[in-house]
Amino acid sequence: MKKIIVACGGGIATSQTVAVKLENLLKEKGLGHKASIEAININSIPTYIKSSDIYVSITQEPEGKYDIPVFSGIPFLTGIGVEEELEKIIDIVNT
Amino acid sequence: MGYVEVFFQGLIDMGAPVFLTIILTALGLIFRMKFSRAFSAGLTLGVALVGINIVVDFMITNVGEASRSFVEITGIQLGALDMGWPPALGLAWTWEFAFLMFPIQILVNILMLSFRWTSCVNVDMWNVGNKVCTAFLVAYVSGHAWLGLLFATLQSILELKNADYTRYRLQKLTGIPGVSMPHPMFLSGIWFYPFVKIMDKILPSTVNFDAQKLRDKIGIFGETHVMGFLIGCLIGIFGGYDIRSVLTLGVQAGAALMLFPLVAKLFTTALTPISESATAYMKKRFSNRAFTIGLDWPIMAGRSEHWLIMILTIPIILVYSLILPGNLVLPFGGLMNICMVVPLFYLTMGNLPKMAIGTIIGIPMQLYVASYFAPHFTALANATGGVEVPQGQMLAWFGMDISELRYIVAEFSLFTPIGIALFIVTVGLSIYYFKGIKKEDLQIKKEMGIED
Repeated sequence: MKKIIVACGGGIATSQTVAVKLENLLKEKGLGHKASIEAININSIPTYIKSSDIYVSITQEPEGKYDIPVFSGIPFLTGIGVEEELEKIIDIVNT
Repeated sequence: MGYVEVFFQGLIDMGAPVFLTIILTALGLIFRMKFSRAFSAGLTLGVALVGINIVVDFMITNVGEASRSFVEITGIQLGALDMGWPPALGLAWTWEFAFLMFPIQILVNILMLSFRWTSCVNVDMWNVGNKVCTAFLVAYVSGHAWLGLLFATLQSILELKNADYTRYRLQKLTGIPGVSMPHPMFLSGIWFYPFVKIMDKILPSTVNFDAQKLRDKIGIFGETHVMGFLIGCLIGIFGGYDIRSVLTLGVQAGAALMLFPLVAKLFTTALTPISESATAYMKKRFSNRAFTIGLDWPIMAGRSEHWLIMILTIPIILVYSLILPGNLVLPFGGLMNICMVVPLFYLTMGNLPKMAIGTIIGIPMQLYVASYFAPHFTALANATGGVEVPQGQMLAWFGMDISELRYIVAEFSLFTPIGIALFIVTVGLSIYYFKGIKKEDLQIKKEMGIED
């Protein structure tokens, strides 16, 4: 079971939107049981990052800022490039 | 007609959690969702409302009681407890005509796309709640629901225009092409823009410093539970509590602020399927032309400037609340002043000194507007039956989006001389702002070398 975090300003709206969509997509691929997704407040990243496996970011993050793999959540919001980003996330979920 | 009215009144009388469950399920079916999915979404909305009520109730019981003790001991009349944006927007959904704002926002968007008045497809359904909030406040102040809905519709239109006129600015700030930002708080530009222009004249934009390092050091204060704990302890100390009670209140206050997002995110869970259907429809309908996707503000939240200014100005908010004559609001849930700091970030392109000065000038206005609307938030909480607000206690929202504009349209809806005067000034400022910001955006587009 991989833990995925998504962060935004309050952990309520944007991050939860990405979390819900990503969860549905993983379920469609039959991977719902392999990941748990949580929307969090961006100020709480230092607290959560240690216990998480994947960070889905909706902002631009510099390379190598975190020890865990970081993916973009923007495609899940705009609907453009979803499959591509989803494949990358699935690769990690399946390891 | 009579039967329809009786039917709807009957629905509304069942209370917001039941009513909204039914309404959202019906909306889902209209958008051709499967019944099971539609019902699940609808019920999630009902559950979210019940959840918000529980947490607001918890906050009033603990933090509210301490704040009443604080008022008794210090004699400072801060009877309105600030709940912040998650519960305030949650509460707005309990207004009886709230659900109309969904079709209104989507219809406004479709019409404006059809007439090519906008190129923004707004997929941000969370902020439908922000239109509901404007509508309910104007309706409660004026006594006319239609007036509230009218101003909320106007807000929808202006949000889309503003998204169009700032899309390259957004691209420059985030690096993401093809998106725009129809969030209401950026309409604060109408009043902030002249101030920013004055600051641009006085302060060269080269005066700036690195926000990241400082933010890394003080970032912990931006964590909701830590902030809640500290404020809770402060209220307890001034409320004359003993050390054990002070610390207990601190943890309870931390719990309240931490639990708000946990229940508020259920609104998003409930609304996302509808958003997906509406977006799919709009994209298909306008697939033959270029459009931008309208998103909520946090795609800019990775920048440290916001959080640095928000955290640093918390003590200033508290001091203002204690010394400003006539202020009724005890700031609590809304201390992270997003709706002041983020629009200033947007207008100044992240210039820290200008953001700080603008915020310090703006806070008193926000406190007075929060005091002005406190009776109405309290009335809504009492009317919809979810929250029992005790005598002598009020609920408020400090740091509300477009505080100044909501105050102005509320006063204007009463046709008070001040309301009429401010409204006329706002119309003038709007013309100045939209012209200026559009010009700046085209300049940014040129600088970035973007071709059509």
